[in-house]
Amino acid sequence: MPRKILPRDIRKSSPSFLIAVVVALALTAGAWSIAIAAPKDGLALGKAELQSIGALEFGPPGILFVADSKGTSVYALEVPAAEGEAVTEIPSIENLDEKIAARLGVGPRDVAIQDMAVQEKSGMIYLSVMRGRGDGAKPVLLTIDQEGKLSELSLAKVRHDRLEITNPPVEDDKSRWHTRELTITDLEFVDGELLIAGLSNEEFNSVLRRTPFPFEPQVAVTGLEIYHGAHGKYETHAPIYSFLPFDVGGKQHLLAGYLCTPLVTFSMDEVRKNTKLRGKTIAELGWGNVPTDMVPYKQDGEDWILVANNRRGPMKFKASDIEAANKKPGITTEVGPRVGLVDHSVPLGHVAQLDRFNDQLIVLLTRDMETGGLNLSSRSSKWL
Amino acid sequence: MTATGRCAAATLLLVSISCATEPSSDPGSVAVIFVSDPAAAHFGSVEVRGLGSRRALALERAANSTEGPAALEVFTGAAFPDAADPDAGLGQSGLPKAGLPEGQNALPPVLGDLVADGDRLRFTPRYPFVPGQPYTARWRPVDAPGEPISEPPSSILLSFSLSPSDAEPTTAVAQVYPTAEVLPENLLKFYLHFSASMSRGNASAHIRLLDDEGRELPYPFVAPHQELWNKTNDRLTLILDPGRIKRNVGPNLEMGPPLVAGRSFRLVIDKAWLDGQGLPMTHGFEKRFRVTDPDRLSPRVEDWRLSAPSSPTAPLVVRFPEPFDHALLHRLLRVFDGSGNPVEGTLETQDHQQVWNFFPNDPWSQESYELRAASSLEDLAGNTFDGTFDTSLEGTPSTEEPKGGFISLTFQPVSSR
Repeated sequence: MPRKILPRDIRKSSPSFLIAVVVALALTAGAWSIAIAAPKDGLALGKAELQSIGALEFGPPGILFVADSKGTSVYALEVPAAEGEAVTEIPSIENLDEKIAARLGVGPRDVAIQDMAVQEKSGMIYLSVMRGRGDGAKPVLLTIDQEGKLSELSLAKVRHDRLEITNPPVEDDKSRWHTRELTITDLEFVDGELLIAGLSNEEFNSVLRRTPFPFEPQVAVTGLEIYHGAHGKYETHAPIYSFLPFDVGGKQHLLAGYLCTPLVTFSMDEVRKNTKLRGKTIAELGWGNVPTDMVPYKQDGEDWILVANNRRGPMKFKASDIEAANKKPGITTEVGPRVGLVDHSVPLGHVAQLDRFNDQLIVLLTRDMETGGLNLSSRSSKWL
Repeated sequence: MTATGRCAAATLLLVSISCATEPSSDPGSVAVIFVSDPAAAHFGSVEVRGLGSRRALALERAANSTEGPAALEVFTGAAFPDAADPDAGLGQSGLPKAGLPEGQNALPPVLGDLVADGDRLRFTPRYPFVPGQPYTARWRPVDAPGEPISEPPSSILLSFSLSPSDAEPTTAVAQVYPTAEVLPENLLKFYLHFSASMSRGNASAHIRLLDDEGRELPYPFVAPHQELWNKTNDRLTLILDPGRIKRNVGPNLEMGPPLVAGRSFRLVIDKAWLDGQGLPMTHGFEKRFRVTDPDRLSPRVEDWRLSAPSSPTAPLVVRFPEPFDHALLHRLLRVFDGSGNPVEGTLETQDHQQVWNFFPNDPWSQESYELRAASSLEDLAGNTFDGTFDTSLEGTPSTEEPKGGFISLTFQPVSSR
């Protein structure tokens, strides 16, 4: 086993042994390159016919998941990162909404930026954008490179796969209920599985969908219920809005933000085992609010989670506080509107989009309070 | 056209146009033209004419190699203060006072394809030109590999815009559900139905909920980033902030529920809301309603009155003691025949969503039929057969799982003989 031998024994090895090790390594590399050359990822070259574009999430290297709520689908697109050194900086662009509008040939009001995702290492920023708001509205996937150049990723000819999300989440299949409509609010790739959170435009319910990647046609579903901590002895089936995987003692968990705005934890083991599950409410972030993005980062060796909200300002939480809260029984008695976790405010202004580039850098789209423009910038986690 | 201009529009659709060139010893060789084509998906293209075919091809290749600036680019916005009146933008020398913004204010060019066609170079936008939106095309002679500049070294600016639509507004709010004039304090949803498709992304600016003193309620609805439209964009779902309608919930204590029993409210929709064609509505809409005590009870199927069809073509009629969610009545109630196959037909609701009529496509036979209601069917407050919207956990083991599934009722059509 060359990997075991290499670090300790190579210096005292005879030349012939060195050659053997090198040959063995070359063979291993050869096997790997064959595996990469013919990936069984289910992707095929062709036109990705998105009807709309929304949530974005990076999956395995070079794979970007794209939500199409109108088409009730999730696409996996191949977006290979350029070879080379890992990028360490993100360009700053003022009035990005105006620039996107100019590039798409419309006024800024006809541009709706849906989501932002940053590719690790390449630093390429992907933006899902709807061009226009009426009947002629078109989904567009834009990229911003290191130089700040705004380009389009053509969906006309791209290696991709499409997953249709039409199976009813809870009811008996035999009863053949009509296909429901779903607004996909968040995607997360966790341990080889794509997790899909959505909001129905009819039933008020909470369902988490799961599918492995490469896609399989059958989507697993788990109905999620919560104790609404702020209303004591009552539970509800409010829809999950955004979520984030996080590790507690080596066990994968989900931290989920709800519409109104409890923060809830679920163990992934439980999500996989059950078709119905009650989460543990660990905090209440306050009424009238929707948590739009959650990202992890590190500061002075400590793990934090940054939460962007639509009506409340951005908040940050210590991961250790979340872990500690997760060990407790959870909120099941009547409490005030904002409890459970100490939230620290963050001086970031109005955050429209948020993504993690790496442990040290967060990428932001913020609304400038003076010019009203939408600015792209990055922020070192030191200053969060 | 301006004095030295070599730009024009080959007009099929009315466009406003203005152009200018810089001084040139031989301004006659190259012309920039907007070619309107209302039948094409993109409504038109911009052409540079008078180039040699080899030069045009070389410029196409150079533009697509992503090195250096393209010879022909189109920008969003007018290079002239008033594109309809070119003279307004010209100084004494006949040159434009205003050009394209540069430096910090420079905007990137419109996405599109540059293709050589004989002695022409043609720009076609990736996405259609928008009527009413000004654009500026800029021709700049640039070197291309093997084909250096052979034109006069002057750039040409051409501002143009497609005439905005003169269509009359036709869209209006068709109905708001629930239609009842008395609604529970813990009402969960409104459905806004429109007569045609609407534009997305501006709903909150056009909907207000007012109390009986005309005061606007702050943030009564959940405002997710994505509005909850149906696929055809003619129905919008509004969810009243569930954090405010549950009992004892923080916001509820902080500022009370959005709707208060005993009082009257108005849901007001203004006509400035743009439809799918970008036109305002013909008129606004107002729904007045009175609010009663909250509904905290699960529906009971025992309370449903099912009237079997009185003839082979008569409808199945189901009467409920309370209104149900309009959209879910259309999706979560289904009729099956004796073999378990779904019966196709049409349905309508009456009496403010308290009566459900099902008309079969084919006459009923004499067999026994089954009506199935999904247990997730919601009343106006989101209570279902599985439980109330906010279920008390007192005395309930916390490990109990919600039910799911459906409720079944059988009936046999009455023979007409």
